Amino acid sequence: MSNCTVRRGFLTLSACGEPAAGVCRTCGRPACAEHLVRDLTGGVCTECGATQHATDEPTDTEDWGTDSWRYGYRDRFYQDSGYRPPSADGPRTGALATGALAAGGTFDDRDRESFDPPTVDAGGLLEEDTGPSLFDS
Amino acid sequence: MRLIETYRAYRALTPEQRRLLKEKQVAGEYTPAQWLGLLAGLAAYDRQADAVRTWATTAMIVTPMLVFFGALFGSIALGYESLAIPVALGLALLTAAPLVAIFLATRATDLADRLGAVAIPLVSLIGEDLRPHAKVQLALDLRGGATKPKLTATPPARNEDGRSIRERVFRDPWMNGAAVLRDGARLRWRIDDEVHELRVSHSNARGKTKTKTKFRVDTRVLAALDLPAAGYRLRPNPADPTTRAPALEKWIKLRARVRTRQKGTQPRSASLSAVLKTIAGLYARAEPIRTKEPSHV
Repeated sequence: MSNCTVRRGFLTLSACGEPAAGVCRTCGRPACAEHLVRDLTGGVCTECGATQHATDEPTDTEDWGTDSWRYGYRDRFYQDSGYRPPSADGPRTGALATGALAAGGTFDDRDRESFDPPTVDAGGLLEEDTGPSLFDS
Repeated sequence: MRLIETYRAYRALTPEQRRLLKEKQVAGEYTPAQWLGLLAGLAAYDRQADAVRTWATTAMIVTPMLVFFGALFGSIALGYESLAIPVALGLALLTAAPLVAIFLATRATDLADRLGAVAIPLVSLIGEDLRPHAKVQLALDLRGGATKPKLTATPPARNEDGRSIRERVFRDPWMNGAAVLRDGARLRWRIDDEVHELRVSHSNARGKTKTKTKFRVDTRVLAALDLPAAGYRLRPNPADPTTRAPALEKWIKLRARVRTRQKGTQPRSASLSAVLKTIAGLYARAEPIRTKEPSHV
């Protein structure tokens, strides 16, 4: 059987690629066990399932960790903001550039003061970035 | 019933979660699933506790009054006029005491609402862009914006249109995160609130003074994204067609700063969508190089 074609991600999209466990009865695409919500008539992939349950903002703690909420919010966000994420499926259209500084632009002194040092030092990943070079580029 | 559910939610917390509930600050590096496991239980408890506190606030005003007058008139009707007031007062205090205790206990463990409104959903969504078992660095301050340790300025009181305005300014950098994404990009973000608490007092014609407290929250969302130059290039900027990424650089470094302002009777930070738009806006500045299959697929 082919591989799962459900698109993972939020900022960028890419096909899941895991071995398929079934076919979505709504869109007909193969989906893996993680991305196929089974029911008596076969099942729907999490993308199709999420579209049916899309909500504006998070409403319940039980929802946050589920694909249904994530994919539903993702669809709504793309729709409302016009954001089209980089994808292996094809060229992106549209643009969203909220607050983006000019290419090569830098944060001002107050921004740098905010970022560096962090409020609580989380260590690790941040260490290489706390130097002025990250924000002066 | 709600009180029992809240107690159960508290009992369900792990010792680490109870410690976080007390300290209201957390910093660490975990997988998104681990973060959700840690924070979602706290948010569930906090939601229950908020509802209980709202109920207790009303109940500790109304119930003792009803008990007081009930006991007062009951004592008089039964012929114990001399004991009526002490008995009524005593019963009212006995009724109020547990309600006040519930109110104080839930207030002491109250977490800022942005935990459930922004922090947890953000981790859940960003987690989709990570490689399996990759971790997210997060530092969260859930004490709330207008708290004493965050007070930075108290400008002198001023008068406007017969109203006295006393202002306090708080600095609240409450969220700081970093992650390496599936495509190799390095992402950092930070949410920094400046909370202005305005206490507006005015006297009416009868000389009675009324005070209202309002909040204005100026939020800065900062995002920094370093994209691997091997996989991305800058999109042409219509405003500046000469813009190109410097040649031979390993990273395309993009920065964004978004300011939002919220006004209301409670201090509110930026919404989840405002934070996501800031981060996504950086990705929208670049496009994947199509000459070869992207490495993250």
